[in-house]
Amino acid sequence: MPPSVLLIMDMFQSDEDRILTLVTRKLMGEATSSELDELSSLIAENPSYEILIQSLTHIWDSSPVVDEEFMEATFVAHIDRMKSNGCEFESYEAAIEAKRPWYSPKRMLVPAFSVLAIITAVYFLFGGRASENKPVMAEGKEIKNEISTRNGNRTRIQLLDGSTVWLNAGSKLDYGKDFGGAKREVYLTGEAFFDVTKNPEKPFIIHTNAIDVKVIGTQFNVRCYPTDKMVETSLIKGSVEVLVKNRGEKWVLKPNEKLLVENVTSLPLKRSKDEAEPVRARQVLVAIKPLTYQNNDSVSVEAAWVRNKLSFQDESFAEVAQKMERWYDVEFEFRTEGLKNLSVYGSFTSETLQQALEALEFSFGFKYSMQGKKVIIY
Amino acid sequence: MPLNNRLRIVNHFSGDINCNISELQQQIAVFEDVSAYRKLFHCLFPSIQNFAFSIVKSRQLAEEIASDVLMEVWMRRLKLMEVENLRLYLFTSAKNASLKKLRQETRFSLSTLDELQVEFISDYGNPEELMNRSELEKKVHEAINELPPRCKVIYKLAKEDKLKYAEIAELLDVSIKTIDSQLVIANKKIISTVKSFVGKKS
Repeated sequence: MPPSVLLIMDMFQSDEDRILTLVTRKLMGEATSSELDELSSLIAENPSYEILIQSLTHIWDSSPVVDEEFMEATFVAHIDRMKSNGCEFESYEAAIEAKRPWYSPKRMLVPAFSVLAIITAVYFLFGGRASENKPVMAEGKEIKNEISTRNGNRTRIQLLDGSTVWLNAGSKLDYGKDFGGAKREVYLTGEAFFDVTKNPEKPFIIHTNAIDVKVIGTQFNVRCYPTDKMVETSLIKGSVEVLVKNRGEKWVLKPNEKLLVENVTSLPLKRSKDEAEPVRARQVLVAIKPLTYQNNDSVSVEAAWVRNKLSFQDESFAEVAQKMERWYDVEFEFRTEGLKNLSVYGSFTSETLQQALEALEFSFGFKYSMQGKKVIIY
Repeated sequence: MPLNNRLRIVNHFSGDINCNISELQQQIAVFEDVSAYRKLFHCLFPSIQNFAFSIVKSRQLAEEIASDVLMEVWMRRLKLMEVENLRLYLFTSAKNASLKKLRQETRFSLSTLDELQVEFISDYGNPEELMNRSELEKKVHEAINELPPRCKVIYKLAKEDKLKYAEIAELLDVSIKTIDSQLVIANKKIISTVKSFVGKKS
């Protein structure tokens, strides 16, 4: 508050009135530092007021008890009212409960079988049991500690401890030469799906730029492309602990939940070459959301890529384009800015790039053209 | 249709210190976070409802207005970061909606603040809770209830709804000086209640 505004009324007050005025401003958090000083010296001169000021502060800070149950009932009624007004709103708990395929006995078999199928495929890739206990070998005897994929490619790796990692396009996994010895730690850029072998004594840790994910044995997906706005950890089974480095906080996920963390490295400030510019000081945003499922599909949108399926659920065309760039190893250019905000649902499995683009073109009515590896949308 | 059939006005409350409105606002805007929206509702619904009630004088209408105002938050969640001061914005929306309702329903148009009759909540949850209140607290409560309406509105917005001087000034279209002096009047009344209570005891 500008001090001048209140100057006139401050004149000719008795000590008691003056104290009350200053205490009121203090309680409101509107007192200037000189007013606070004045208050302390006035109280020192009139110690009898101290107890009265204490009770006034106590009364100011007290708040009525809230009836949580009643408030929750009011909230539920409000949501009903919102829905009857055509406003879509899915309660978090309902979303989790309705889409928990792992607990439904009918669906239980599907993931169990598919995990088995994938493990068999790994045996084929790396020549069966013999190589299972060794790290992935490159030419000669040199141990390769790093696996990376280019855009358009995906791969799966089996690690020394029996854990399997599916690495999505344009990603890198560095597992260090000590892996499987004293500790199980890997470094990830990009996106990977982990099926971690249980070992309570040696937790499996995935380091990324923004978060560290610590697990005991579970299936989950981590997405941390440097260019994406969010770093995403999606949990299918078990439990993981995510350390959000910027906030120094640990978040524990339950099955069918994902943790979204704002990606600091994608913020433009850091990219500027101005060294004097500090990295954004504010805390990054964090949220837990339920995984999304499409049309009774037992595999969530977040993990669909593991099954060679590129899946979108209410994502902007700009985000979809970014995924397609990695998936098909192309580059998108939007000539019509408004198209970026279109909301896309759907999935591609065996479609070629051309088929995928035609399907999108058909749904949205835009035009596209190809120039080498560049897709121009207009 | 009333939002909730239980015939009780929600405790006037927004004093939860963990109600970080701007953080909740970001969570809703960036992540469309349902649980953040729920928290925001818990933090602000009672305040907004009671503020609307002070204008429309009908619990049912006040409930509808508060529900409408908070519904807007979800419907416009993707543009929510454009709002600079969400708490004040919602109070202002509630004020405008209440005045509009009042014109429609009663053809009565509000001209001065003194016509605002704020119902100060005398209901502290459950009877046991009321029993636990000390004699002094009850006396103080009575004293606040006896404040002139305008003084009571300002005291309520400042103490319970945690609005700042400048925010109350903007919302009620009064000067900062008025708010300052009205709050001093309220605290003076409270102090004299405490004084006479302590005086009698000793």
